[in-house]
Amino acid sequence: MRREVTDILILGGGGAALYAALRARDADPRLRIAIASKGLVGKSGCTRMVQGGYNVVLHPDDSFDKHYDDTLRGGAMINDQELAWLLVTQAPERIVELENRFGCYFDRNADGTIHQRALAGQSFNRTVHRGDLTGIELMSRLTEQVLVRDIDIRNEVRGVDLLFDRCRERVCGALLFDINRGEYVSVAARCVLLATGGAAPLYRITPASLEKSGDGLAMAFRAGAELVDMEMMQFHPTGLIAGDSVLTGTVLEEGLRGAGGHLLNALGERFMARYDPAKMERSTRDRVSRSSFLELRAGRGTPQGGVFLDVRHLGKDFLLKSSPGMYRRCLSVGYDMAKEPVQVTPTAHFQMGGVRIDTRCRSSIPGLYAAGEDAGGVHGANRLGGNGVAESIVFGAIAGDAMVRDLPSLPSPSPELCEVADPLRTACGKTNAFALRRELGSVAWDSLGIVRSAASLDEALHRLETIEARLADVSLPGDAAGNPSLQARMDIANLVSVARLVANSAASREESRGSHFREDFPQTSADGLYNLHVRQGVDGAIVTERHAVRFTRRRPEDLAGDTLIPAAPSTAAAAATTP
Amino acid sequence: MTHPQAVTLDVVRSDPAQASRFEVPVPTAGSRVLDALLYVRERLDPTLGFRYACRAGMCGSCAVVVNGKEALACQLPVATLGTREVSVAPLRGLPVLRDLVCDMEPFFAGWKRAHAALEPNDPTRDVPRTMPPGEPRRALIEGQNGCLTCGACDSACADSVGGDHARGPAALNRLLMLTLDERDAQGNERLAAIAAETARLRAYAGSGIDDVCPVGIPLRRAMDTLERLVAGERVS
Repeated sequence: MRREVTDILILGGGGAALYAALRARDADPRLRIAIASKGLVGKSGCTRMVQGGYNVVLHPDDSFDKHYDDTLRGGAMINDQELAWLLVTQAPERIVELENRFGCYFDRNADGTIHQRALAGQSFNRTVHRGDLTGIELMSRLTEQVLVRDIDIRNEVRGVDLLFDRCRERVCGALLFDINRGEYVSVAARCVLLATGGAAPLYRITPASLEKSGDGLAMAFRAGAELVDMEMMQFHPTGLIAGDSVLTGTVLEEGLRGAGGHLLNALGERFMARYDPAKMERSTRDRVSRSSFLELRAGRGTPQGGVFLDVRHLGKDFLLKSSPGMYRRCLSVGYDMAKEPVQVTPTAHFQMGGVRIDTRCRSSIPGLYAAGEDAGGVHGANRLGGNGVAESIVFGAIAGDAMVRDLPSLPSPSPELCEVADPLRTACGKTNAFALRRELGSVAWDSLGIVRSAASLDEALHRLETIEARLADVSLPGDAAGNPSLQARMDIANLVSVARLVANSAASREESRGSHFREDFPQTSADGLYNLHVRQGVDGAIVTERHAVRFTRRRPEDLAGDTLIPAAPSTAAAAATTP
Repeated sequence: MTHPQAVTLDVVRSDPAQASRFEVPVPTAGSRVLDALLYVRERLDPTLGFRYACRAGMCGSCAVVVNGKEALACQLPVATLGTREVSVAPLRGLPVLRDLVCDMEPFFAGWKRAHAALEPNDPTRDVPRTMPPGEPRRALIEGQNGCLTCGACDSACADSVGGDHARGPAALNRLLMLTLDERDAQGNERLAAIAAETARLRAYAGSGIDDVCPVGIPLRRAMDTLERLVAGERVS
């Protein structure tokens, strides 16, 4: 097995991974920095797919306090308050850096200042963007900046497990698998950054980049690191339905609902009247997703498993002007949004939970860092649109800086030598890996998705055990090089680990908060202001601990809003008019 | 639009001993080439190698050559091909790792050689710039922006590229943007570096690269503009 040495090993290839690499490289030209991504660096992952934009306080009439309060309200008050403050306060310097140092182009106002658009859930229009393809802009610029620096890029090389020193006290590298060569590689490193994204593709229907399978999360768990908020998975209400096509699940932008689109069930009813008569279709993402899911479960959906989004009354001119890409995409799968309602479904969008980090992206294990969607705590129980890519950039920078600063105290690695078995040693099984993956997706969707209950979570845990047992029987035809079934099996193994953590935390939280909904505990509880920390116990089981939220900057009574314990009407009115 | 119920997929395989022809259903008018490839992998031949990630036309990972023309597999509906015989081949001009999967390293190595990234002339600036959108140079830059680095254009001109992706249409398009960019320290040095590339620029300008670009960048115009800039003309 190839054995290599580097200083900083970054697993992942999205916004957080690349930003960390750039900051570290520019801070110290002598460092050896390697990025290993299971897809093509800069192309796979979800940063690339960002359509909304990047939330940042730039305008004099905006303020850190406003952005912060919006973020905490969105997170139902269980955000890590220090991490959320970092997000808000460091977003501006990163935007300037993205433009001046790394070459990003952002849309402008007529006077040449940066244009900031409106996204839902915010008290100020603060979302910086380039058209509706901000993600492509960011990733294109960051990737080319990485290319022209002395950074070792490993495309299609995935992380398998973290490596420890002989005392098992610190992480000092990782075991990787070179997908195209079909070989393991052992990389010793003085520190490792997990930036592999979250596990939204666990669910049958998702808009996320499909290669994501929670690899960083699973590796962190197996290494004994703490994870947080694992029950918090965001669903977006309007994913496209395109039959068996891979296009199913891709998101139809929120603006359509905001602009007055209607949601109808198969009976032609505007069903939001049943769930949020005050706000109707403009209710929060989690509420609309849940409402659609409940309609589908009650049998009021279409044969294809959808509800209808009707924007005909907005007019073709408006649609072409506001959402030309979306209009064309729907046309290409057979819907003319201007003439007929489009079938949509909730779709698993983003994972708020992840590796627990401190304000320097350090995990609970020395030598191990996490940033971006792989890390948890910034968004609490629900993420605001536009805060995700801001998180990747801000915390990618924090991680890069922290690793450089910490390196002098992280000695050269001598990881325990590990033995690896032939990945194809159980090749003779009969189970189709892709069918097993689909089965996992259905279990997750049905039992630990938008609507949960003690019974459904229990069922999920049983079925996950069965799926895990069947991994040993997965058929792996072909050799190890470029073997899709082998990759699928590795994905499933990690997804099962993550699914177990989601189910376990969802079962522990006996209330509904933000994106987590328990139909057996549908209310938000005044006692719910805690985070669930989980880690692997000595016997491999999940150790779950409840930690009260530390209100370092805001107390719950300071903020009232949609996803909180409902405030008395006078308090709500006062909060609404507070500048 | 009626669509064929099924097509025959003819896929280039690295190992000639492996099956290359597959009957694949086409469930809807919108079913993509990527759906067909996934059908083969998931139900007929799990060893079929091809690349994809976002499947939403944003990452460019799935670029292949379908019936002789470059396209993103996730964006191309099978029904629009108008035939029941669908051949799928890897991009041209890049080493093949396996079946439809090309080694993209030479493409990105070229990007690096071309230094196709901003070299900031004011890297520690701590306030945003004022850049009016209507300003002509910026409008020109924006018109060329959006490249997915999918490799389709370099593939379509593989003969002219000749393996030197630093001088392929994708990298040259980016160089045009950077040459015009007020923030770039290299400025006209970038033009000097490609002063000898007139033959290539003309070849690209006369080719079908615009037709294969999945995001509709006017690449031929870029090549033409570069040629004029190299010749000392002002373009804005």
